[in-house]
Amino acid sequence: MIPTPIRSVVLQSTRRALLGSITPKIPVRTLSTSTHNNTNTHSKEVAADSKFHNISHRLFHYSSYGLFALLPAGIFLAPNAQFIDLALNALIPIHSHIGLTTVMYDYVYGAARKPAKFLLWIVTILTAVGLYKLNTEDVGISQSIKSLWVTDPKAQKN
Amino acid sequence: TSPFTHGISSGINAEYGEHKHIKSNITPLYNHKMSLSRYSWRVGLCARRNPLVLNKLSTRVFSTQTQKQFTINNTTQEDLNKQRKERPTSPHLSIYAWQITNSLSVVHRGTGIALSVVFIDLALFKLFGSHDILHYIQLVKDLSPAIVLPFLKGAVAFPFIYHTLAGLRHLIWDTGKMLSIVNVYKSGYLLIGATTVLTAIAAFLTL
Repeated sequence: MIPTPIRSVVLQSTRRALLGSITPKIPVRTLSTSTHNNTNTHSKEVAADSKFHNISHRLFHYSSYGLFALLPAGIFLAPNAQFIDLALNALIPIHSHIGLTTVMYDYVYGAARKPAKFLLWIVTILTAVGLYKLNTEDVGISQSIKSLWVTDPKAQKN
Repeated sequence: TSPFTHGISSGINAEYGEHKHIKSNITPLYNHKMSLSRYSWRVGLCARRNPLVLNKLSTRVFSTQTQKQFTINNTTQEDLNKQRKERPTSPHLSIYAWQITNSLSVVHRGTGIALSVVFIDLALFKLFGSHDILHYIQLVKDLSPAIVLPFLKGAVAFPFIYHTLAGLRHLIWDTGKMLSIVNVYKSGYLLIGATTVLTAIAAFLTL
């Protein structure tokens, strides 16, 4: 049997797809924990029964599930974790980008937000490309974290 | 007595006036009672036209020709933001009491930023560094004395362990479980205990 949460999510999304125009819309705030005045004057409108307001909220939520499962598994399996490393290559930039966007929105306001968002995108893309290079040419994400604990017998001899 | 006070000296409107009992020789101009509003208007009129205060009253001049058009609300968002920048803010962070709830949340955010920095550095060293990544990690291990190594390993392990376990706590909250104050504190203490134990293990672990 398909477990109940997955079944309800599938049913909900099909219902929303079929009755999308009929489901009433409610305004919601976008993902931001800012407590400052007047930073989010434009709210989005989403279907009244949607649990996640926007795609970044969904990406953040599911990437945290993935990281919780894969990061310890990768470090445990370390030299033989190529597929886990490729999955982490996708999940880490997504999770860190959305998290850092929230943090940035809390401390940066007004006209400074546009350049900060642009820099954050640059950093995220560089991170993704660098981690890919680490996975393909070098040992990989998990092994590079694990190597701080691994004592290399060759280095000890020298 | 002036002609304006005629009729409202003692006698007329005995309910409003003070000297009800005093009979006056001044005959009223009319015998009907006036309303309180008209009585107070008359009193005000006498007060305004009193020669003793006339030179102290301000005179307002209204002219239909010189009156300029005005809009009720012409403050823009920029004006409001400018005003807000100059207005003093009431204290928030300086007076909020440190509790286990907000401290754990702050550490969660701090470790999240630290982990982002770790992975960004890993990627940048790979992209712009001339050696492979194991060279740099071995360099860090070689440059630190043996005493410092457990602290180094603990300092690297702590953000991973804390952020993972606090993230688990957040994911449990997202399902709607353990949201009562009692359970929030219980899970908070469990988080602190588990992080301490696992970081201590990680600090002295060699693989």
